[in-house]
Amino acid sequence: MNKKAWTDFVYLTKRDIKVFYNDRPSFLASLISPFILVLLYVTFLKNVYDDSLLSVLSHFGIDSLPMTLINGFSGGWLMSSIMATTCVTLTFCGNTIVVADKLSGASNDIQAAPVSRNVIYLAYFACNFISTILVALIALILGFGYLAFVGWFLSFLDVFMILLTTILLTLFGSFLASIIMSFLHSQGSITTWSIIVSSVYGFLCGAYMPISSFSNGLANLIYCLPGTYATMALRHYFCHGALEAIETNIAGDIGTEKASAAIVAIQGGFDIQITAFGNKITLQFAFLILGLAIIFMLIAYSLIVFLQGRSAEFKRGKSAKA
Amino acid sequence: MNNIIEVAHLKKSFKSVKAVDDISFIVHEGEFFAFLGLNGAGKSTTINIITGALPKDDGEVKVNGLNIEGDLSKIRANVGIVYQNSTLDRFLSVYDNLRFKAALYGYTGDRFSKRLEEITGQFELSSLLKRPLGKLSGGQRRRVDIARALFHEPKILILDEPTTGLDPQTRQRVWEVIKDEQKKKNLTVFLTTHYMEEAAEAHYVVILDKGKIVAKGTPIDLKERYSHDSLFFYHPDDVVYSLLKRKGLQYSLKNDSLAVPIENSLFARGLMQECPEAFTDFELIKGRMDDVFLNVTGKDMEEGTKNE
Repeated sequence: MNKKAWTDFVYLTKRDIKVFYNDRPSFLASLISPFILVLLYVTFLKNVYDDSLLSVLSHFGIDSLPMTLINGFSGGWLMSSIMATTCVTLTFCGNTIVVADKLSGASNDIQAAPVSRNVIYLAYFACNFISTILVALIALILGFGYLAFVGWFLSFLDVFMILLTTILLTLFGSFLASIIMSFLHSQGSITTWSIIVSSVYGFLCGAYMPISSFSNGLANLIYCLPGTYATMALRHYFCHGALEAIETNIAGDIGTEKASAAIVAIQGGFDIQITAFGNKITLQFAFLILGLAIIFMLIAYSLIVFLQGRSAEFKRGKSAKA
Repeated sequence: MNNIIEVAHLKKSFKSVKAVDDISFIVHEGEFFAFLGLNGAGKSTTINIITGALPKDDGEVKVNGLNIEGDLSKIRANVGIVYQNSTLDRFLSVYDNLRFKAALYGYTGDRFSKRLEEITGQFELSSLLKRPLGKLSGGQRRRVDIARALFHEPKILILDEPTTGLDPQTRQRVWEVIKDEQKKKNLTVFLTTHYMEEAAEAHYVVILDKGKIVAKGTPIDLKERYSHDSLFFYHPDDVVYSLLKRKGLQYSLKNDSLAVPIENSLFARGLMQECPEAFTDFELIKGRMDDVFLNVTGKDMEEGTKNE
């Protein structure tokens, strides 16, 4: 990237981010999805998680656990759900600027300047990624604060890996949103897609309900989606500290072997460890899938931008050759 | 004068609709050029092709000697555009609107600050810089639009119906600013409009109808060719009626006046000399661009606009 292209990129990205954050309705709409999840958690999901956890443990002869452990686990599970959905659904709200610019004519105005089309779309992508990651980080900080208050079991490595997964998942979401939005041209279609993604994605990545509660067909479909593996990774890093503490706590009562078996049962039931198509999914495999999905989408998005640009150039140059 | 825009046999269709149908024209450097036509006549389509926003179907377009197929980036650096509907970011301040657009033309840092001082002084924007666009009046927003289009000191300013929807006072103010800039910097102004009085101020006018050029020339040429002067008699008495009957002149009644189409002012002078007592309360009105447009397209500009 030469100096002119870099300056264009920086200023366009700043402009896009500023427009996104100053557009209060769009910005607030982007927070709806995590807000609903927190609301559901406060009203009834926490009880469901707590009961489910105790129900699994009851099969191993454990009737109660200290509240710090229960809260640490269910809080971690909630946070993994929030981050798994937020990082993707937010990107769709952040990307509405692309279509809004097309509708307002700002897009034509920007393209009337001596600036490369690739730089314009790269700036849109960067804006989407940066604005999403900022909101995601705020959500993460609030979540860490909540966990610190109710029961903190995260190591430094857990926190680091949660941050890394958040960045990768946001990158994945940004590409997904950019690809879909590049084909949309009306306010109606953006709203439709945003609503669909906001309401369905949480289920499709297994964030709202454990995959085991779905039918086999739907569960198999969910296993085919990369978001599922990112959700599993987030669940692992958010919950494994609490699970280790639970294992230590119950080992005294039921013995280490039974305690380990209880933890495996919890991991399976809560999608902290998933088994897709008969194969136990490792964390390495989960990150491999996520990484490959990002690379695939990067290539797909680059191709779309390139082909759309070529198509415009071809139409412009067609008559010159004739 | 050098040719700054050259359009030859330009064609553009949208499915079966011929938006621009084989038009050719030349705009000279420093000229105030007007494109006159109703909505849908093909004005905006032509502008979009000239700026590279739309691909053409056929024909040739050169801007500042450069072909739009090959040198679009260099062309764009020398063109400022004010769109019919403002494209300013309504969630950003005036300052940010200017800053982010100017950067794309290489105006950053000190270069930006220096030019900002000039342009805000010229357009009286200093007190508005921190205000969000949403808080500005229509006229203020238009001023920002034009300031932004001129920020990078382009050779050509394209104005796509810039004063539509503005009150007469604001329209006048906007034109003062544009004409001032044109004189100072030898700026070429390419205007599309459906306001006759704006087109009448241009050096050269092209009238478009259904994608075709139906007339072109200076406003005086066009008026001479397609309109006529009118003699108005207010509160006409029998002397006036008998003069008109004697000379076999057609007339129409308009409120308390008689409108008499005549060839030119010389003919009016003859009438006055022949029968001075008929000329107690009268007015000679020169041919207007409205008449030109009506005669050339067969459409009344105001009715046509309303119908679309």
